[in-house]
Amino acid sequence: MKKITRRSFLQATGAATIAGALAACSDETGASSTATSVSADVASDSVETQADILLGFGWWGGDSRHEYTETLCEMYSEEKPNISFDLQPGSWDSYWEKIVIQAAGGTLPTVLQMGGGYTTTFSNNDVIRDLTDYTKSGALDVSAIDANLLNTGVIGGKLVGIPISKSARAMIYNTVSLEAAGLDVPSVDWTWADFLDMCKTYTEKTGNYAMSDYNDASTLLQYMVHQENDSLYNDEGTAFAVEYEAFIPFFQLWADLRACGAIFSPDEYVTIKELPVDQSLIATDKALFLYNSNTYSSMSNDHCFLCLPPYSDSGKDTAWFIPGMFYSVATSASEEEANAGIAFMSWLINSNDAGAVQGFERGIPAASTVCDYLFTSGISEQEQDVVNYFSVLEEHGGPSPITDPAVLPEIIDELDRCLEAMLDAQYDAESAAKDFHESASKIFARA
Amino acid sequence: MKRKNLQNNLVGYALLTPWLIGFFILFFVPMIISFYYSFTNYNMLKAASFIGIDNYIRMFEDPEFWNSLTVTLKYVFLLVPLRLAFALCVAMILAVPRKGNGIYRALYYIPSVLGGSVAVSIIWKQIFGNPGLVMSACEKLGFAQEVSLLGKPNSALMVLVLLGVWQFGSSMLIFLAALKQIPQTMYEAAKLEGINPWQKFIKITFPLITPTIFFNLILQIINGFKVFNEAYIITDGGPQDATLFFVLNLYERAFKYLEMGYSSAMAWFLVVLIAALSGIVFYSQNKWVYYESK
Repeated sequence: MKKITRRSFLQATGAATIAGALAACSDETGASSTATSVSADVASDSVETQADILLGFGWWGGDSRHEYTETLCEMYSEEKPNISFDLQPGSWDSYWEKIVIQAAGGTLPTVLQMGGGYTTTFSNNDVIRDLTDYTKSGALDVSAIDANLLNTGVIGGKLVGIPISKSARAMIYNTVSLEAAGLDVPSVDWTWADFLDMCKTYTEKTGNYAMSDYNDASTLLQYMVHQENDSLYNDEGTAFAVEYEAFIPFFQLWADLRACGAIFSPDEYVTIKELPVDQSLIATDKALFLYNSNTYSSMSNDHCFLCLPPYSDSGKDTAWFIPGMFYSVATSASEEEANAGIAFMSWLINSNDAGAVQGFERGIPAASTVCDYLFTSGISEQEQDVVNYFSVLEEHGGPSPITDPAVLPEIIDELDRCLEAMLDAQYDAESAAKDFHESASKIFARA
Repeated sequence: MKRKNLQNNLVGYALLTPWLIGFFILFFVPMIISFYYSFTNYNMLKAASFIGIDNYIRMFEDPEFWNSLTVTLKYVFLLVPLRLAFALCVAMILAVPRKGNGIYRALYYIPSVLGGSVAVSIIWKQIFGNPGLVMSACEKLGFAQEVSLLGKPNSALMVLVLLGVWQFGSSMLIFLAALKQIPQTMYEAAKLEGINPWQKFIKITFPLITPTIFFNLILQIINGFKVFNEAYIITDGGPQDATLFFVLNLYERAFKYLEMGYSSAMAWFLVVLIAALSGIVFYSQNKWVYYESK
């Protein structure tokens, strides 16, 4: 997930508020000038009434996402002058803290970007709507989304999230850093041993940390466990499906990286984790690799590219697609707001114009029509890289794991605690694996 | 006369109204609600259902709860004596009349105003973090450090205690006022008796300001348990939960893990704990606090 600082979040929120106010102001004056604009992509039946609607829209992301999402909303307001927006962007952490409180108070933004274990939690507690009826009535057009992908938004028999995009975890590499250490781009079938060698070489030659971050540890753990086993969690997401031994390779990898100076100490991380995405170590050419979402490469700088994460000795094809994120509609929204929100979502997902503004920043668009449009209208080198990566993944990937456990946020914190204790040389990989298995199992048992 | 009294009282209550309304809406009602929630499994997303004293039982089996309690007790027992001692020292220096005292008083009070603020916490992080001012200074002086003070569990807590001690201003002002209340005649008499400065402090100054020390002690203990901002911003509870204060733990339980019921129970535990400690201090005052009027 992306990290932006509290400060840049505040700036973004402030800017969003102002933009929202400006958008609201332009409604009256904009009406006549947009009367002729074509809006063929908009499923507009549900907002034929011209009553003014203030539509709440919440999402997480970095500064670049905040900027273009504001642009998207302005574009939509021009097409639908009666719609103005209450924009509520945030960084990953602050976004969830905020919307949980809003959910408690029944003041959630109508349209929400959803993801992580929260989709399950929110759905289980009926905070987000079942959108099945809207798709049946055609108000929400999902015809261009692949059925399997759409199915990832179904939780407990309810369609609670519409996938925005397809994304995947990847090993992100920096070409400038590769060159600095005289290294070649990793091959498709590289292994963790190759990876460790490259990290060692890079750190020896440049004195920099080879890894840019360890903040996405939980998904890397899941990936590494899947390389040797069927699944990390049981089918219900209520317990681990493996014993602690399955975690040892993951912890050992980080211990090895630490031993050769290829990853910073938890101490330095306190400062490093505050860096915005575009100032992270890998974005400033001061690191070689980062395991993260494919969307990270374009957010950081223009010489970060994607490759398949390394293979384990088992040689099992493992990496998988994930629904990048969802759009959901809050239960607390009024019918009028919900209808307007549905129409807006439909536009976001299906409009070529919206797709052109968004590009691949939220992952490869879920709607195949938008994808085709983007390909024919020309894409950047980095976007082409994402496309290439996805075709490699289609060939070499394994099945996607089922839904995240609802206690995932707490499990992630527990993993960070154990990982940091180990990086701080308090215990070895095996003890860390044991400690994590034990303490996380307690969390599962309690839930 | 009675009528006059009643009128006076009414005026008093009328003037209190804004505070009373604020107190009831913002404190009293939420407190009652949180008391109710402490017996439920409320998760903020769904209506709460009653689960008896399960939350209170769970506390005693929760290692994180015990850890955060230990950390907070350590913090309070280190912070309060240090802060009071430091505040008293500075107050005694400033109590001697000399030019520019007003400026010093204001300067020393500033950290108390800024103390818990976000900006100071961020500066603290830049001074003690890695990379940070302290680390660079150490390196320049020839003993380079691998890990910053904030990176080690024990020293991280000390850094936060130091930040707390630095905010000694309000205690200092109260001490200063108390020191000025001590009749000069006593010191003059002592001078005639020829006692040394240390005896002067032990025999005269200290006994006469014990009521103020008592007041400051109670206030600082309560404040100490409420510590949150510093840890939230500077260390985020780390390293390895070494600065996961009670209130920070409670906050994470409520807003990150959505366990508002459990979190409410923890809050009420803290209320009882603070009340008990304050009670002990109150009870002890017969033994050491000297009231002139008695």
